Amino acid sequence: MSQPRLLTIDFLGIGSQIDGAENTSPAMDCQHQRMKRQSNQSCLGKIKPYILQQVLCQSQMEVNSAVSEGIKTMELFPRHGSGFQLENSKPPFKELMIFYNGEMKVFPDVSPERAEAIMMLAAGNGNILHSDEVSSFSTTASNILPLPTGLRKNVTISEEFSAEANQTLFHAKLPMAKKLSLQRFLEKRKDRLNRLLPYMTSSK
Amino acid sequence: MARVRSNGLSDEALQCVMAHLDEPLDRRAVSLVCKKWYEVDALTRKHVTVAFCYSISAADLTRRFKCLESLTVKGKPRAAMYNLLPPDWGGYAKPWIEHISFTCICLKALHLRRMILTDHDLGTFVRGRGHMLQSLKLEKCSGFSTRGLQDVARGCRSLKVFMLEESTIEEESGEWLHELALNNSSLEVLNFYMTGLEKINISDLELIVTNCPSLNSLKVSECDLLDLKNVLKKATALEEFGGGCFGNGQEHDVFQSIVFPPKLTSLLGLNFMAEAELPAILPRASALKKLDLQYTFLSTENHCQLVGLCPNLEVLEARNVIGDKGLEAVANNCKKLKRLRVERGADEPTLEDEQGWISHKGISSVAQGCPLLEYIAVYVSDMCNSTLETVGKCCKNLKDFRLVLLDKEEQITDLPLDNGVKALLQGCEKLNRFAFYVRPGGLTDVGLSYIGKYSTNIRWMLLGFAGETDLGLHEFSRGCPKLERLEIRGCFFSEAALASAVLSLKSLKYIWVQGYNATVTGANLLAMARPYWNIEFSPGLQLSRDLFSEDMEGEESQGQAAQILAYYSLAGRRTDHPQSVIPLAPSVFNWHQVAVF
Repeated sequence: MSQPRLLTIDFLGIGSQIDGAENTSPAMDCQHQRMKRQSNQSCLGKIKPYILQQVLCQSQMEVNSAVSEGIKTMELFPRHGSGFQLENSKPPFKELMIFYNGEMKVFPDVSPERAEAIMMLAAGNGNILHSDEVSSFSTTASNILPLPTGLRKNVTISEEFSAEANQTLFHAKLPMAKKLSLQRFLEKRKDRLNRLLPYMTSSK
Repeated sequence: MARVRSNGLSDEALQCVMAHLDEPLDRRAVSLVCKKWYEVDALTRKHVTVAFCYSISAADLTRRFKCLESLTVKGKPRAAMYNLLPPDWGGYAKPWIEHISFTCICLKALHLRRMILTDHDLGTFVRGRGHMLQSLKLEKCSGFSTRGLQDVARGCRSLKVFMLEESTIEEESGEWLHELALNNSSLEVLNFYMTGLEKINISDLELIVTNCPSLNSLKVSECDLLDLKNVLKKATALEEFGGGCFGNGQEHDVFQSIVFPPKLTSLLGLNFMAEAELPAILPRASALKKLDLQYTFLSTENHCQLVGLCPNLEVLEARNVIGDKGLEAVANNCKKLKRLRVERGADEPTLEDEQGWISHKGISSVAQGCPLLEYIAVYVSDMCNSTLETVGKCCKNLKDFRLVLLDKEEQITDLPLDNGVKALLQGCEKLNRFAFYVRPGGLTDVGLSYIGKYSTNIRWMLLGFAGETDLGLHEFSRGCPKLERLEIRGCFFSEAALASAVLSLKSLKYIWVQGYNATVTGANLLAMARPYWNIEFSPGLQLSRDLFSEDMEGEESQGQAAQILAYYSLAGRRTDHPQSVIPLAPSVFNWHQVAVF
């Protein structure tokens, strides 16, 4: 909590490039950098101011926390691989930002559990999902799906018990469905019999 | 131009030849030969069945087949018949009716099944096609009232087939039947069976049978059979009669005055018929080819007696009160039997006849006694492998086999049924529909792999509580080469395994799943995402989570377990789904469109 630290946000990834690429030929390097700058600038131009502000605020919070040391740089446009940059701050920031392949998506109002589920999906089963299908994590879905309270994790409870025990309990909770037509007939039959023999005790 | 030749055949010749092709599979093959044959097929195809209304848009279908004479469209999944779908799930007929009413100028017959249509839709259709409509079947449909039926009665004077079986109809009056009686003299089939319509004027029915000498099938709602005496007397051409009910507290010999038409071979409904009323139908018993006793009050003994008098029976439907004894009587007497259906009865023991259940013994008898069987659908209380082996050995004509093992008995003679299923599938080579609904332990992973391996011709399958783990499903999906439609219930497979299985089953066009090892969002299902493959997820309650919560009763939870519906579609993502159904694919967004902006 001493004097305010200097915060550098390396939008264009210039810093690390300069650090690591001293040996490359200057001509190629310049062209490469120009192209990179252009592509990054086009992306930069698309970011809404308030989002940028939040990113800055978040970084600010991190800087202010006792844990951080030195100058913090944050790559907004990672050049290699893809990854989620999940908000690790708790409320009020409930937005999930996904950076992928030079583009960014923001999902407002994502709970920590759901975010965790998404992270697990990408980390553990990430090989399963194809890139263009991930977009189905739409805001529509997140608003409609009621997240059950107390969800511990997105992994089913089955891992804690044997498959057989699960199946038996499962079976109890999913009784055989009755055909509507037959059900109607059996109800009518019950009514008739009750009318004819009022003293006949029912099974209940 | 007529001069242009295709493989040595002129266009006209090609059209003449193709006009004789009726089988859908033949037509499909022919349309893939070349562009010319595709065009000729499109011009000459008379009938199309759309097995699932969301697989293609009405516009695309009518654009391709301009000369369609008959169209069948099916809406809601079969699960709707078991109350497993929300009422607003979908299956709206409106877009279809809007297109076909004024585009298909040759359309003479329409059959809608499990769809929702309004009076307005009916009105539109009648305005467009009424003048030449010959057949209208609204089976298990809903959303319309007797006012819509009035429009049909008034506007379709050449109607030969008018079927409303099991539809939910809002009843305002019986005026529609009166209009039908006044305007129509060509009816051959009139069916408002199981519609619950009560405001039926018997004199209208009498007028119809008098005016329509070709009427060969009449199936009514629960009209008192005594009131129908005159109707039955006048309908001399009638071969099939269904519905009607036996009233309460009548003098029983009164029913002996009912005389069924001379050519009658099919009797269905006979609601609440008890032993004392049997004499009403006994005179016709020996001529009967089709008999449905599902809604009667007959005991096991009554069934035995009745069946013993029907040597010409080809179709028999009954509840399981028929018992093993009754099935034995069938095996001994009904050598010409082709279709057998034994439905489940009531759960409450006091209402059920004490012999009111069937087991492997009855099925064995029937399999051995009736070699012509093509369709067997039974709810059994007990089963063993040797019976299934017997079916495989004896029923060589079997095309459709459905077995449901009821939950009542704790102990089953012989589980798992792996070897029996294997023998059945190996023996019944013509089998193309198969349902196997058992309980945990009923079929192991090995058994499931047998189903995969030996289902060479099966196109539709229902599996209930079959298999044990994802491995079983994996092995299953390596087989089933012709499987097109699959329904799975209560099998504890994971989403990833299901997705992988879908991708392995090479002929699969449609899959419905309920009661599986669901995740919260259904996200793992995206592994099966591919072009033209729609994936719909209904989260419901998470059975795996609520497994241990005592407050959830079985009956409540069954309709609310998570569901998956996935199908090939040329129409894209559905737009008329309710809140409870979430289309996961195709997705709304793509990565080039950033949502925030």
